[in-house]
Amino acid sequence: MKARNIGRNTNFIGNIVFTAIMILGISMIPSLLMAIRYKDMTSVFTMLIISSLSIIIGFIGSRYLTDDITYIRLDVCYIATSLTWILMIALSVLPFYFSGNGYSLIDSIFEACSGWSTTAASAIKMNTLPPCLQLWKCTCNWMGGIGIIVLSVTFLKSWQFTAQTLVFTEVPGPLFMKSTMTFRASYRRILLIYSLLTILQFILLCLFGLPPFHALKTALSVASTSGLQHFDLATVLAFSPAIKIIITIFTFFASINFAIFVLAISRKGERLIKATEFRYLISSLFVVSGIICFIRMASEPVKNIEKLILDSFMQVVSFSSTSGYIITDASNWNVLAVTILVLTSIVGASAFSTGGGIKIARFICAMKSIKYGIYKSIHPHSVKNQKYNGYPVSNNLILKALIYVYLFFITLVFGSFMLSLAGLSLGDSLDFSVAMLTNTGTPAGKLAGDFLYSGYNGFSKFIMSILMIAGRLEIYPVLIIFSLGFHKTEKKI
Amino acid sequence: MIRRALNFFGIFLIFIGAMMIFPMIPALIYREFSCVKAFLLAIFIAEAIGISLKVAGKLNNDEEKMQPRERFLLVAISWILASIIAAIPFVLTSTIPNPIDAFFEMCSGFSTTGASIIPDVEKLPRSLLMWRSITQWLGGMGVIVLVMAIIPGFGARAMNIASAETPGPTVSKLGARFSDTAKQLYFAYIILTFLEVIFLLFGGLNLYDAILHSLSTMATGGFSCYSDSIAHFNSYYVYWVITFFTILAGMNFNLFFVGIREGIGKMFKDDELKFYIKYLALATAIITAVLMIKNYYSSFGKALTEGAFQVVTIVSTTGFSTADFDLWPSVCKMVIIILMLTGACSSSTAGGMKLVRVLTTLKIIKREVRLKTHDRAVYNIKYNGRKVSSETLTYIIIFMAFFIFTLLASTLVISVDGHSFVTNFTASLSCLSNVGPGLADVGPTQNFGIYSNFSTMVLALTMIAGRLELTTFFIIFSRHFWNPDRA
Repeated sequence: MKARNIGRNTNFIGNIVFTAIMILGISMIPSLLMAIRYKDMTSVFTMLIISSLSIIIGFIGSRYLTDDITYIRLDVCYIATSLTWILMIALSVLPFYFSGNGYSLIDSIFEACSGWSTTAASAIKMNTLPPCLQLWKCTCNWMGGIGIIVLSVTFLKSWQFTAQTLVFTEVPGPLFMKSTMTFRASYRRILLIYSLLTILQFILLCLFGLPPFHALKTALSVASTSGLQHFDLATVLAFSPAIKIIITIFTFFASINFAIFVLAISRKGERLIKATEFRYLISSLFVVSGIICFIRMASEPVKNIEKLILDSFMQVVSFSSTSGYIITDASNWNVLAVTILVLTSIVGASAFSTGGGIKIARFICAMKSIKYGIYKSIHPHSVKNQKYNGYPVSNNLILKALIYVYLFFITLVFGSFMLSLAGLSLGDSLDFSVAMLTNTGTPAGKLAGDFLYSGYNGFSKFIMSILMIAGRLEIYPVLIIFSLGFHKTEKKI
Repeated sequence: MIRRALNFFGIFLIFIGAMMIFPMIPALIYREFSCVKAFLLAIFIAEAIGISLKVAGKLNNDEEKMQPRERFLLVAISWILASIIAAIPFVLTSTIPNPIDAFFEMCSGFSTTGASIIPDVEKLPRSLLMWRSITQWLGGMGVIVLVMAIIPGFGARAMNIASAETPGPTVSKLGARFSDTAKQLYFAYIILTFLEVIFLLFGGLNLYDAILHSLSTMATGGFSCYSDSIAHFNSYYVYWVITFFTILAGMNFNLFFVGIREGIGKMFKDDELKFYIKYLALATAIITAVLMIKNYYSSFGKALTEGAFQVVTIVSTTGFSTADFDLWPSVCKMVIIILMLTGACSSSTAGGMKLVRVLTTLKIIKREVRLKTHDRAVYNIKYNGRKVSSETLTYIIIFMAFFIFTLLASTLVISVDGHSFVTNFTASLSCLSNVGPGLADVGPTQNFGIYSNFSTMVLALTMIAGRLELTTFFIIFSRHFWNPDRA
């Protein structure tokens, strides 16, 4: 089929979008098979149609539109990313809505957003979903974790296009960290690592006694730092220590900067040691766990100290990676411990990982900015450049990290305001806003576990869905969508 | 350096001591003789220490120029000293027997916060309550600015110290000498206070009430002599008078002079003022609408009055109340939290982040969004028609970070007491922005007495940090401060 040239930008956007649709179609096949196995005829029908249509249309569309591209403008990339994500979510809503179980549209939207944003919050109790939909949600988690754009560009035909600009509109992380990823080969490497980690976890979980279906769901959800929504809290608490440890270890892996893996493989050990973010993550995990242990020992009756330490550590790993699952009985934790836990989730995981939050790299830069600010107050006429990971970085870039922190905070406050408008209590508004924006899924006040968002009205679920996506895409793309609608490009600031 | 500092502290304490003469007037009128004795003793202590410090640190004009870092330390210590000395009458009369609580109350005074640990205000002697409001009035324009205005001789150095006290993007010079500028600002301050007293007298208040509440209003402090605050007066006239003067107190005082010299039209061209008015209108509209929809008040007039009053009093960080807004719908409480965060205009007596910074940061974010789509473009941020330098932008961004960081740190630290998150968060926010009441257990009908001594200290320091716009306070913790030659 001869590739046509409609218009360069439209071509490009279309190419990405259609490739993504095709990938979505392919990824629906396992869920389809699951539906067939459980003889869930309505879902078989729905998924068959969506899947086959997506694959066919996606394949034809992406071949029809040439991808002979070398450079694409940044705003076109943003449009491509935003459009793709909207389509992915829209398509993911359909299996829920048309499953024949009477799920409302807003609940289906909530589930789809929760899946793709790796939040793993539930409006419908996941255990009650048909198995095919459970697998589908976990598949969405897995794809949302690595990012559909990253997935799509690995299939682009043109090798001249490094897709750097495009990928960076989706990949979480501050601007100056982008230099670690330069070629398309890197994206494939990272995808490979991601897949291998998932498979490895699946095998280990099966070996240690988890039934295969549960192991699959867990592997998909943990690798994307989503959570363990497919289990009851009671089930999780009853896991053997081995299973809990496996989950914790792989959660930790998922929250590390993927560049670390690439460095480790290519044996660039010295750069690994200098990796600021990695060192911060490790030390903060221990320090925060230590503090929480201390608080718990002071406020709770201690029966088993080893269990206390281990449980606290695992819970901290869960929140610092923004997975948000409950792995210990945290219902009677002191408010100080809970606040610390929530703050760790706001700081978030590393850049270039599947986690959410502000990202550790930005947090470190924000702290450096503060030190720089103090220094400037004392020596107003000095010029001092900051370093990150041993490389000099302009003060301007460091400030961008701070601006993002502030943007995050504003979005939190605004999100709380909208939720309170939707009728939630003050405490809940603040709580849920944080949980959604950091893609954790578990609000601070509901650490008793098994929390469902079913009891809240449609408007609040809608707001929460937007917050989830904003958190995953790091707010700017969502803002851009809104601003494109309202402003002309030449409007004065 | 130490000599200069001692000299400065000396003058400062002498001044504070002298100010304690004023509350003795109501003490004598209301025959509170134990208070008279306490004040006399406090004045004696202040003057004794003050004079000895001044003698010890005789000013020598040949000494080198004051380092920037010395300014910060001087200001921070002065505030703490002032709060300690001012607390003495309370401790001596056993009205607040716990010195830490008394220190908190005075920090709350000088920082114009208005948070109180006193459960039943009406039981206190009237002279002490007047002294509370006087500390707020003094703290309002910055005690140091006051000293500069009345006691000239520090020259250019005065400007340096005072800029540590009220930093921010706009410090316009009104007079040729800094003490002239300070005098003019105080002139405006005094006139407005006086006007409010007159208006309140017309509303039926007695002289004591009128003076006390006017002092608290213009300082955007919020101390009242009644436990139900302004609700005690139960008069729409009084509510609206106070609302009006609170709006003025939250405005940039420099603009008053712009208005007098160049006309009211010019005054209203200020970006910050325009934002302030729109912001007030929007917040009031939202709260009034929600209160009406949820039937909290029977009439529109009542809802509007209550809504407007609370919006104005919170955004200006005054903290009076006419209603228990902790009982309001959560939307209204969310709006109140946002109002507490932003504060009012710069160069006013209000606290919070200050609207000029909020406005600039919003413009910065808008620019970032634009840059994402047009990364080769250059966008300048303009304020009042003039380009804002990137250095100023840096300071503003860093201030915001400090603010959020301090807020979260304070919330975290006082969590040890075990109160709910909303309580801790709004307590910290209220102190940092110098508002006064919070929500939940520190709501408008409650008090801060629920916190342990440790948390009370933390909150007191948070108040000072907030009043001194954070950088001043935190600079002390930097190694570069103590060793300026460090790279």
